[in-house]
Parts: sequence; C-alpha cells; structure tokens
Amino acid sequence: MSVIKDRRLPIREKRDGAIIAYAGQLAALHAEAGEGRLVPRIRTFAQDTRSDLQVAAELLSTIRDLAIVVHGPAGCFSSLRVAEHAVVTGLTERDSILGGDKKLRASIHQVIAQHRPGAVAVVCTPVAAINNDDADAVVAELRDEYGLPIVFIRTDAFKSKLSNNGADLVAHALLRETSIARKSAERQPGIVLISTRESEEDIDTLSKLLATIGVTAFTFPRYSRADNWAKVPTVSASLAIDPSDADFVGHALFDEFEIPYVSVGLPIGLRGTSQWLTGLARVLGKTTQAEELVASKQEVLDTIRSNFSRHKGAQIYVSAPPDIAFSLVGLVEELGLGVSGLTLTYVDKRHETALAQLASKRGDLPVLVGEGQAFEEANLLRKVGANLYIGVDCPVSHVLRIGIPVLDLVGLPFYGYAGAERVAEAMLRRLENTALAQFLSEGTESYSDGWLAKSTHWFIKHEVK
Amino acid sequence: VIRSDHDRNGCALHGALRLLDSIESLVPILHASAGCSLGAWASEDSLALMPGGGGLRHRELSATLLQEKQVVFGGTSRLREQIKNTLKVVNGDVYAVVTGCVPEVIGDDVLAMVKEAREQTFPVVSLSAPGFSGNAWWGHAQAAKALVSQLVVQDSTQLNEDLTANLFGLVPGQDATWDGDLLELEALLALIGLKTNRLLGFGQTPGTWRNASRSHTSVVLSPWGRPAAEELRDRFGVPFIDFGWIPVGSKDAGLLLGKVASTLGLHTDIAEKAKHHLDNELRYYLKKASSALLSENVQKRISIVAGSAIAIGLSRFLSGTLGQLVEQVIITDEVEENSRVAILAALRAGGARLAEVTFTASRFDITALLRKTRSEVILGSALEADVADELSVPILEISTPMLTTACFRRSYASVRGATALTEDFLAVLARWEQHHRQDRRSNHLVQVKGQ
Repeated sequence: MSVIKDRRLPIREKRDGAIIAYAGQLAALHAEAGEGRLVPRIRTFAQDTRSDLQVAAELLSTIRDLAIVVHGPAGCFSSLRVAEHAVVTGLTERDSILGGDKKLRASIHQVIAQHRPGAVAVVCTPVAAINNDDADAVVAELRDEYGLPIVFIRTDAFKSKLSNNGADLVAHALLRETSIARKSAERQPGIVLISTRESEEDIDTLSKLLATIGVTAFTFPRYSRADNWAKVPTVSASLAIDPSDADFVGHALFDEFEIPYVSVGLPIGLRGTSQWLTGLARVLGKTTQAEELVASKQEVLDTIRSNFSRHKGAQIYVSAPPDIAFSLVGLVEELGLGVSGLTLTYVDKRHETALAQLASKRGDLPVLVGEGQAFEEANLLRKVGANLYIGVDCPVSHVLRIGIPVLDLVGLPFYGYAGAERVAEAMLRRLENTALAQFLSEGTESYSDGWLAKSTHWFIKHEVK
Repeated sequence: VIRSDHDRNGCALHGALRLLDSIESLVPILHASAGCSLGAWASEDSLALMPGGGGLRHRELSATLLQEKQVVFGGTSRLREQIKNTLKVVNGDVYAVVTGCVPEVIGDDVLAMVKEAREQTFPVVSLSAPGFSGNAWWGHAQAAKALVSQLVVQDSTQLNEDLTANLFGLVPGQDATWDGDLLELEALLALIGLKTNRLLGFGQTPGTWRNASRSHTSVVLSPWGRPAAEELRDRFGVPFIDFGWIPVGSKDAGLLLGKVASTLGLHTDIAEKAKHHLDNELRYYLKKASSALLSENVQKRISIVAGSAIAIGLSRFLSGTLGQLVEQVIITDEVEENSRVAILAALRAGGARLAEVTFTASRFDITALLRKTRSEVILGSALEADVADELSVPILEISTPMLTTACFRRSYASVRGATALTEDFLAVLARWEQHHRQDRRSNHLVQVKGQ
C-alpha cells in the first residue's frame, strides 16, 4: 500500500534503517550494510545540528503561493525571518501549559487574510508537539471553512535523529494533497523532477539539460506551486535528482498513481552528468541526442584535468549527504585527485550498493557518519590530513583551524556540466591560494589535546534500547 | 496577544547563547532538542536568511540533542553525560549549561546536575533560557544577570587601582554593531582616564566578569543592561549610570563623559577638555563631507527602525548634528512600559522633536507605518527592504536581521562611529542616485529609439 494513504509517516530510522553515528573504515561500514544490519549507535558527546523542523521550514519557504505558520515559540521562526508569507504563533510559557490552539487558529486566519495564499502549511515545533495540541482539529476545521489546502507538518525535532526527516514529512503531506487535488487519471506529457534540497540555479541547469533531450519537467515539492499540485499525479514519469531524498517520493508516486520512477544516479561531475543524461535518455528513448552532448564534453574534461596537473595527488576530504558525497568522490577522482576521508550525514540500507562500489576500491577509507559533528572531523582530519575540504552546508571553522582550505557548496550550484565546471574552478582557486586557512591555523584550537589524541569513535556507543 | 509576525527578535535562548558566545573561554552546553541554537546566528547569516538559501549554519556547540526517550523519561542523565564529556573535549575556563524549552516543559532538574558537577570542582554555571519566556533582548538581560550572580565573586571586591567602568546593555545578535561599539566606547572612556570592562567581545573572558565587582561604576547603555547592573550594585555595591542608549557623535559622547566624570567625582576640566576634543575631531571629518551634505541637497526625511539603544543614538546624531529630518522612529526591541518614558525623553531632547515614535516589533505594522510616512530614506533591517523597494527609497541596514551588510567590528558609536555612519549614509544615497540616473538614461534611450 502507498504511504500516501497513511496519515503518519514512520521516521527514516524505522523505514530505511538509517543510522547517524559511525566512525571507522569504509569496509567495516559496508560489511554492516551488506549484512543488512547497520547498527544504531549514539553519541555520548554531541554538537547541535539542524532538526527536521528547520529542514521542513526551509523547503516550504520555496513554495511560492504557500503561507507558513510555525506553531511554537517565536525563536523557532528564525530560519524564516525574511520569508514573505510566514508567521509564528509565538507560544509563551502559559501556552506551553494551557495549550496553543487559539493562537494557531488566529495565526491561520491572519496569514490567510494578509497574504491570500494558495495553501497553508502549519509546521509543528517541539513545544507544540509535547503540548499535544489538537492542531489536527484546528487545521481540519479551517480547511473546511476556507476551502483551501491547509496541511499539518508533524515535525518535532526529537522523534528522528535525521534532519532530512523534515523533507520527508513535507513531501508526505504534500503528496496527500496531490492525491486530493487530482482531477483526472489521464497522463500528460512531461515529468516531475523530485527536488527537496537543490538550489534554484541547479534546478535551472538541470531543466535546460533535460530540454536538450526534449524532456520538459517541473519540480516537486521544492519550488512547486499549490495550484500546480493537481498536475503531479498526471505526469508520465518522476525523476530523482538526489535519490537519498527522492526515492521516498518516487516510490510513493508509483505505488499510488503507477507513475514510473526513474533514478539513474546523480548529475554531479562531468562523467556523473553524462551517465545521468544517457541513462535517462535510454529510459525515455532519446539516446542519440544525449550521445552528441556527452561526446562534446570529453574535451571539456580533458582541459579541466590539465588545469589540475600541478595539484596531482592532492587529497580531498568530502563531507555531504550520502548520495551527494559518493558523487563528489567521483568528481574528485575524475579530476585526478585523491580522497582522504569521508563524512556522510547518515547512511541507510539503500546505500549498500554505493558503499560496496567504493569499498571495492578504497576499503580502508576513513568514514564518519553524522551531521554537524565538527569535533569528530577535527579529530579525524588531524590524522588523515587533506589539501582541501569540500562540504555541503556544514560547519567549517574547525577545518580552517587546522589549515585546510574549505569549499562549501551551499552557495555554489554544483549539478550538471555547468556545476561540475564551477566546482572544479572553485577547487582550483582554493588549492592555488591557501593563505586564509594558513593564517587561521596559527590561532588556538578549542578542542582539548586529550580529545584530539583519542580514537575518533571514542564517544560513539551502541544504543541501549 | 498574537506575536505572529514579530520575526526580528528571536527568543530568550538565542539572546543567552549569543551572550555566552561573546565571552572567550566560556563554553556553552545547550540542553535542548536539536536545532534550537541555529536561529541564534540567523540575524547576521545572510545565507540562512534567504528563502530557499540553504538553511541555517551549524556552529560547534556542545548540545544534548534531546530525543523522544529523554522527552518521555527525562533528560537529566543525558545532561550529566554531556557535561562530563564537554569538559573532556572542549577547552574552557567556565562551562555554562543553557536550557531551552523542552527541558523546562518536561521538568528536568538541571540545577541538581550542575550542583553535582560543581561538587566535583568542575567550573559549571547554569542559565535557564526557554525560548517561550521572552525575546532575545530579554534573554540576554536575564543571562547577563545570571552570570553576574554566578561568576562575580565576593573576594574580589577590592577596587581596581585604575578607575574602571563596566559596560552593560549592548546585545550580541540583536544590536548589529555591538562589538565595534563596545571598542569605541572603551576608547571614548579612555579620554578621561578610565579603563573599561567591556565584558563581551575580543579578549573578554570569565575572568573579566569575575572582576566586574572591582570596577568603580557600570554604564548601562540600554534597558537590557539594567538587570545585570542592578545585580552587581545590590550584591557588590558597584553603582551604575543609566545612560540608556549608544552615544553616536561628539555631543552624546561628550554627554556620556560628563555623566561618568561627575559620578566618579573627576575634575570638570577633564571631561570638558575631552568634549572639546571630540567636537573638533568630528568637525574635522564632517568638513570633508560638507560639500556633499550642503551642496547636493542631502537633507532627507528619515525613518529609523531599530532597537532602542541604537535608534536613539542614531536619531539624536542625524537630527541634532547632521541636520537631517528624522520624522519617524520605530523602536523594535519590545521594551517594557516603564522604559518608554525615558526613551521618548531622550529622543525629544536630542533634536527629533517632531518625530513620530512607535514601539512595535510587528513587521506588518512597521510596513504599514513606513507606507504611511513615505520617508525619503529608511534606516532599518533586511525586513524593511521590501517596503523600501515598494516605496522606491534607499535603505541603509543598521539593525538586525541583516542581509546585505557584513558587520564584524563596524561601529556607529562616538566620533569614529558617527563618521562611519555619515560615510555609509552618503554612499547609500550616492549609489541610489547613480542607479536611478542609469535607469533614467536607459528609459530615455528606449524613448529615443522608440521615436
């Protein structure tokens, strides 16, 4: 049965056996995954990281005609401060005892009156979740009153240890809306590009790439429009950008509406993009057009590789969500560079194949699993070293303090051929001039010598249920 | 009261965390659910603030990351574990446990855990800062008071040999220029021979706080500095001067020196001489700007949207020295009723006699006020950028949250700050004029080509 029918979505730890803590060699992690027993571990020392609430709020803020109500204390709203169509219920201590239903109702009325949105999403916070406010009843009642999609996103910041569970919760709530909005079972041309974290510029790059093989696409749930949700169940196929997040949506669309789901790797790096494009063209029967484009990129790759010739042997540390990280390793290798270590924000059973492929070449590669745990990276980086650290929206000052330059891809489009060229250029610039990292490394370290001398896995323990 | 669009002031936890982050060698330990600290840095993190712009940045902050198990069964043992391990992992002189909403709701006995750590001679203090208890300004004020109460020690009550003043009331994360302003005020007070305990910023440590009781006085620069200054007075007898705002320009800088000198019984000549020097210094630099200010019609009707301390300072300088027409001041830090009379008096006395003054943090209300007044220039935050755009007027970012301004040690305080403000003000107007000239030129070309 499709998860779309279920009112509540189980967390990723339960759905996919996701783990958030590991430190050791890649081969051992692969062995766990291969035997289907990724071991849930916990940290007895941890550092703050984003929760499902922030991921959900950020994703929702990209939907143009959607108004957002954050149901919680005012501070939970900080990630949305400049989002145009967002308000917070502003729960106080009194509300945390007596409940905040009235404030929720008033805020929904207010946001609809002020912004006339196409839909409203209510994002739940820890205080509201613990209160056990009957937000469902308020949402259902106002939904009827306004005849408007009003969805309740069940984020709480404590049920799942994975922040990306927030993207799943948003996708799940909006998929239920597409099912409600569906007007006809008739298939329309065009595909839906499943996006939860990509930048607008990356989406633009990929849309243009798809257009070169005659495919038109629109995105969901990121950058979608509420008045477009009815189109989702009618598309001829759904396509993953990052399967780590897209698999859930793609499989749900197939289970519910029998929409074929296409997942052909990530369009990261020149080879990765070519494989994505040719894989996609093969599935959609447009091989010739793709082959011409792919062939034309070989020369580009040769030129970029020659630019890196004076940095041959440079070691790169990669820190990113799992599928993006595996693809970045591919990009690093196609540039003729090496990988000294890897941080994956989490790992689940779906990554077994990718882990196997990488482990067959680099079983000894040091791997950390965790999001935002800079203290462990500081420890590991001192042991394995690196000429450059590539991360995606992660802490970086601990890396600079060691004297390693950083490339954070959060502000840099990195998908498609254009993205690969941009990343290569940015890597080259950082390798050319490491002065900032060198200067910062001459300061003091905030972690104790005792910790830096310990094994990286020191604070990772088996979870006692 | 629905605070639904009060989106600029964060929560008490953010104020407390930013205070702790501004003291070197003081290590915060956050006892809360995941992600609670991230908003604390949102006020200056432009990437975080852009919708769809990548989310909030992580910081290296020790945290218990409470999970469902702890929400149900309590999080004290997790906190005990985190305190113990933070001492092993992170270098610091003092460790401060800060509690967010969840432990307060579930009733964790945080004090027992902190007591236990202290009994083992670990230097641990605790601050209760649930987000639902107030905004970041309030959280800062309560946290500063708690630090005075827990860090300042009785055996350091011997006064410093040099005359020394503590500074209270500038709020990291909320006052955009707090760091630079504290440094400028330190330099200002040095003109009359005072040393300064800035307490926050570069080189300020728990040791600086411990020694706050050895100062001869404290200077309070906003209502948010008063609880800590009062605590210091009540417990250790350090008197305080409730100045109430950030002095921008030579007049207010001189006023502050006069008050401090008089409180400490210094010879009047010292303050007068310093005032004279400040006036001369500002006049020297304003002469460089005079052609722009006087001959290019740079006398604007201005609206200011900011927290009380900087709003008063800017308003008094722009109006009282620079001759600008400050017609609207919107005070956004949600000050209590009993502080409003003094704020109004400071604004009226400083030259902004006719300015309309409103106390609100609501973006919706502020937008409506700005639309109604239609000032020629807005001094405010990134939240006013849209309405400035709509009204087609320039905006200078002087308050948080900021989207287009990097603010590390920028200052608008004293003479150097006032000079920097004048430079920024003229630059914004010049860029605006240039932008419009280009627009007019391209419109003209379109028309010519159309003919």
